[in-house]
Amino acid sequence: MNAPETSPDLRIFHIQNGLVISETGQQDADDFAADFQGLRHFADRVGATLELGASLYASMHEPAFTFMYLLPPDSSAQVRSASGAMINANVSNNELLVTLRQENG
Amino acid sequence: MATAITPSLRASLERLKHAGAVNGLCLCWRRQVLVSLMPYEDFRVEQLVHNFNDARDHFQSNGGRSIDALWMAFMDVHALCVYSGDCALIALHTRPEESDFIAGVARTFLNDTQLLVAAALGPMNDQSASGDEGSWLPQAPRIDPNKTNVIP
Repeated sequence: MNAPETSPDLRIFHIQNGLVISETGQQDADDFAADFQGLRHFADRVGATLELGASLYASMHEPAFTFMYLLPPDSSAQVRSASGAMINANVSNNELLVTLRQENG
Repeated sequence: MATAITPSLRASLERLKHAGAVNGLCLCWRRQVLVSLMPYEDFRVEQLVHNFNDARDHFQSNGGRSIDALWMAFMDVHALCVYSGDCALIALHTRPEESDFIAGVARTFLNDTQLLVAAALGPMNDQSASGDEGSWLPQAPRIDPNKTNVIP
């Protein structure tokens, strides 16, 4: 069975030195950056509330859209590198997480 | 005897706590905590509810999005929030591979407990709606021992 990265809707993003790297255009990169910053902000707030520390990864689900980001284990407050994915479907957390981890090797 | 066989919200949530490696659960309506089975103090749980509501409001602020669920991972713990209308169920769990299963169970729980949630919100609705739509729930008679009570 192929990994879900063969889906034409799946868009993978990488953040290197604070810049979003995308193969699908500026609009997608802007959308990814906005969702990444927003979701990471609220995930870190949840972590601070429960004294769990900073987030490692997080996902957001809509009826026809899923977003996920994955940070390296040693990431600091200022993210230098990260990866993420957006897909126009409501896919499972496990599937997207496995895909991102495969992307990161 | 419907009241005798209908499990309470808390009992239903306690059963849900056995769905995988679940560490804590919280059922909320808007920003109000209805039932908390969290291993945290009440003020932290209230802050947690506010955080998840703030996140949903942030992403839906432009009017074009509808957030179903948020899932966040921390060291050894995951926080999952599943929204359904004005209600939300927040779960803390350990294993990441169980998140989709727990999210599905949470959606079923939120669908199946709408009447229980409405009953739990009944007294508050009676006060706010001044007996218009929320007055369908049975109410105890107000009897003042110092006055002559007239039953109309």
